[in-house]
Amino acid sequence: MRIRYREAGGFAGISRGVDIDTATLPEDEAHDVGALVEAATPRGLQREGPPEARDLRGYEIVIEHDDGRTVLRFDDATIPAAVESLLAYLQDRARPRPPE
Amino acid sequence: MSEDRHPLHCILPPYILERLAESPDARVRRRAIDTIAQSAALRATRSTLAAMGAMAAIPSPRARKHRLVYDAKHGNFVDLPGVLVREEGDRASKDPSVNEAYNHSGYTYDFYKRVFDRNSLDDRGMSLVSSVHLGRRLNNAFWTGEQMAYGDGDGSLFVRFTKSLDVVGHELTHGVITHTANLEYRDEPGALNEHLADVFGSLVKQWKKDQTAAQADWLIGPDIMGPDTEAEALRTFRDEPAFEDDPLFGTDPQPKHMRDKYTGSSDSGGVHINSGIPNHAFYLVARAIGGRAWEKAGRIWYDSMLALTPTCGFADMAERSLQEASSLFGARSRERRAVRDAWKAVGL
Ligand SMILES: [Zn+2]
Repeated sequence: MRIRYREAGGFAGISRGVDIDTATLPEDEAHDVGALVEAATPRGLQREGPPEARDLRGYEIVIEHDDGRTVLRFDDATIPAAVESLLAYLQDRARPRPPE
Repeated sequence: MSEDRHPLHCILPPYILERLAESPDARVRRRAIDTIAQSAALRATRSTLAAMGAMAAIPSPRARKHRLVYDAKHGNFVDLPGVLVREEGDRASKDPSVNEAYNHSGYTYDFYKRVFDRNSLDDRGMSLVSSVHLGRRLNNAFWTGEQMAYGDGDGSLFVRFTKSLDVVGHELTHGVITHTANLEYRDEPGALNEHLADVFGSLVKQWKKDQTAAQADWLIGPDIMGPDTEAEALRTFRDEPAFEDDPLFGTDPQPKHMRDKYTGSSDSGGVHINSGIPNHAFYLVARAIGGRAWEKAGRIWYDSMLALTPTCGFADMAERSLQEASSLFGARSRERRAVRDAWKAVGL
């Protein structure tokens, strides 16, 4: 399973992200990540906060697995509770990247 | 600045557009009708929003400075505002985030009132509502459309976002913009929205410290930078990157000239990125005029903000600021010259 994480915008305007291939992770960690992804959501989602809000940071998680691709897009106003743990894991590993 | 632009796309009020739409000149008619068509959907949203804002805004009891600070207790957006912990006139809290949100929003209110005779965000004395401790380790602060919300930072990249007066001034200025130009939050109008929030955020800080343009740091967010980074601030109005090859922040993505404008889709078309271009122009104006930046450069920008409309881009802002400089200081004034030179220097 491959996971692509990106965040952009927000007051800071800093772009960060990380690409993870669970095949390259230690077995325990790969298992934990699998559980986080499973808990996050089986289907994709796209949720935007109120259009009148300003400085919300945008998040994108793309999960490629054997049977397809799941895309999760949300912002600071719409972080799904089920995704919080996976998001924290990815944010801990994210590094600065030039805006795409 | 090129002169072949047509200001029709944003400067003209709707009633003039409607008159132009009936012009005997077919080209004028066509252009006016196109403009109306483009903006009709937007204006509908805007009037709905304005009505919502009027309903949602908590009217200040005596239509003067009235602050409400809530503790979001690490809840999420849907839980806002949280628990009321400090209201106008209440004694200081033990919580520094609460006191910073209270004090910094108070300075911002005072700045708009004394410098521009503006009574709060809507100029009708609406209450300033802030929520602190939003989310867990949230590295952000934002304007929801009705109130400010501040994260605590993760303690590594950032500390609490209430700590910088320019951050609080920036967020509140988003509220002012919502009630004035209401610039769309994408591409150049969005970058202008961010630009104005940075300009007045910085000016609140300069005003509070009584600094001249030469003394000011022209930085955004220096007080919220976390202990694990060497980066001095998030943005600078000067012609240099705020940080470079920083392990946590990378390299400052803000351009300072039109030739380097970001054209990707990230960050709603780079609204926090391309604001660097007009930010630098404002800095050049303030430095060229000298003295206290809020008195002249700030006045020109404030009057321009009141005149802009939702789809305005950088060229419209440049044109508008030239017009405002002329009417405030004269068509041959050094102030107007400073504005013209500054926009030229950033490629407009
Ligand atoms: Zn902003």
